[in-house]
Amino acid sequence: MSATALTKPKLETRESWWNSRTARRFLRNPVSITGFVISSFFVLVAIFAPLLAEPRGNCLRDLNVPPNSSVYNPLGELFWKAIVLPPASCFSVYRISFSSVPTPPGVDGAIFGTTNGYDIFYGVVWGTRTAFQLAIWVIVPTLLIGVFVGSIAGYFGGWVDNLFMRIVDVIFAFPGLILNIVVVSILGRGLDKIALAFVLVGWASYARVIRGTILKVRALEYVDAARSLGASNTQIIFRHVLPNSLTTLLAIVVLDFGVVPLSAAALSFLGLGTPEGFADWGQIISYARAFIVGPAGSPFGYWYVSFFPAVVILLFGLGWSLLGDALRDALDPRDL
Amino acid sequence: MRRLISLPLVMLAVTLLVVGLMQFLSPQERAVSFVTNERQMQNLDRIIKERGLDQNFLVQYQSWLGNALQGNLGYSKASNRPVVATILERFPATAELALFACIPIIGLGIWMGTLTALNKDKLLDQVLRILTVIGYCLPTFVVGILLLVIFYGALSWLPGIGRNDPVLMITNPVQSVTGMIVIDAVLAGNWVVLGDGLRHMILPIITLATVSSATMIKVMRAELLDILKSDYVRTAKAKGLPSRMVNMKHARRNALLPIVTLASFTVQGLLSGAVITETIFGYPGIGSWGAQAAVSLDYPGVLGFAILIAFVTVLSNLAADILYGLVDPRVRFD
Repeated sequence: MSATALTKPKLETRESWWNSRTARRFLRNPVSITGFVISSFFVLVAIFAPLLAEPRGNCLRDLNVPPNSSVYNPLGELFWKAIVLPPASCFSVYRISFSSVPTPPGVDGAIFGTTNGYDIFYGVVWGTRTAFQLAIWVIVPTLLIGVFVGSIAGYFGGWVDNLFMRIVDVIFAFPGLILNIVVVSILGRGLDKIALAFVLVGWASYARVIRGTILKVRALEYVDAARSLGASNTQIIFRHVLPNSLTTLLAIVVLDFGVVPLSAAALSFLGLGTPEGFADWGQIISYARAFIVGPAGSPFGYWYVSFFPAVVILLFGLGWSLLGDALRDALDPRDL
Repeated sequence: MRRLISLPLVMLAVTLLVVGLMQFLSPQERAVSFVTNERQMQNLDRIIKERGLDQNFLVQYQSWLGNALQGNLGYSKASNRPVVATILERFPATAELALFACIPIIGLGIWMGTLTALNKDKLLDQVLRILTVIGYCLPTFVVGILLLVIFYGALSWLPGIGRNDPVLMITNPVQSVTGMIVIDAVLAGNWVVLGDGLRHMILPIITLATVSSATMIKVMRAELLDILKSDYVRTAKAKGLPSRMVNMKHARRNALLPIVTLASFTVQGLLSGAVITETIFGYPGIGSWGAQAAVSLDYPGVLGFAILIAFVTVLSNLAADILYGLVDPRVRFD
């Protein structure tokens, strides 16, 4: 070996990420583009909810809106306040009437009509916010706990691994939704309680995935090399092992962004979700159950009560699922 | 063998978890489920003392376990019956629904999965792939509501609520042997009731089967595509066998393995799906009872429901493992 070989080799210039094979594979795929467009659409709807569905009633009052000024002034302070930190009352769907009979789209300024007196459009738009809020509340802690438990179990093995994996086994003895139902029924109603229930149940699957990848990566030679160079356990876990399981995680997180809000909507639908009147898709569509049969003479008369919430929920699920699938395919190193 | 030994341990841990979770309810909240009339609401403290609801967890768990082993899981207010009686009465209805849902799930999975794989990248494949993706992310409650609105509300082609026509059950009574309407009706030779029961099951079955069959098609397609690339398929083609024979006999048979692997997932999906589907269609099974118990804070009900579901899940996982070993001789148990 010559002396020159020991000098630090010149690092190859990194290829920019948008030129990488992964990015190109992702961008060339019409499916991933569709998924990306739909999910970004929902992100925008969530962010600009106050602009799309104008705050009314208590929400306006809590925003301290003076009678003459408008939330719609894009440069106004109130507009940004409504977008960044809307008061809790904005998440209560504006109730147009107290009649349980739905009114068709267009009447009383309700673009999508009303269900149980609630403005469907308002509920659907602010429900998008609820969906994302819940997704973040659930996914961030789930991810942290899952990564922590999974890497400890996978890296150290032995009794630690055994203990955690037996706990995971017990959680996996239930279909996810059922355990969520049990936990929510105990904790009570409310978005925070639902989020807590999902975290308590959800960390297990993350931990299992992380543990699996870590077991695989740990056996690779470069980890041995790092250890022989004197790297500590934490260093090895955080610098050498975890980054290699990040791609798997990313796809799961994106998929979960679609799955978590919809599972929560299912709970709401059963009556185990948010309090009455909260902007929440599951609740909005559950009102439709009373209006399956249209008014006398027009069997499809109440179509809007189920149609609009259903379309929104379906599109949301579809968008994130397409995006997640496409990401997983694009990040899969096996078929480069 | 190891799985068989660990089975009771997992079940014990499951009961520990669920009973432990119930401790988050205050003794008062739990005492309410023993109240049968208004006057007893005044005596909550006495109920708590009598039932030992304020004792330490291990003592409570011990007494719960003792009762449970004697077949006493308490009284469910949601169904107005003892929990065990509710389960015995309602489980056949759910099992019937789930079993019938397996027909489209497995049938469609194998058929459509083969179809898309053999026509890879052609129009048919593209269309079916889009359909499976949509089917895969359709939430059960949305499918159920839409089906009800269209086929019951607007078109009135199919009944929407329950598992049979109550009037028909009076005019044409069928003796309950298994608790499953279809089998009971066949045993009694009562075709009217059989038809009625089947008609009531159509919409719930479609609702239940949508997600699971999409998953099945997806997996079947991936598996078959993998196998079509393998050496033995190429050899079979090279020796001049007609491609239909190769596809159906050599490739598809081996691609059927994932159906077994997916069996436990499917059971889990059907159980969660049953909770929502049965609630939407007012179907008197385990799922609608569980949902009702959870909403009405009927804690013996939720407990019994959760443990039953866990039991079914664990057993089905075990069954899937054993079945896999039987189907695939390469798999050995240690």
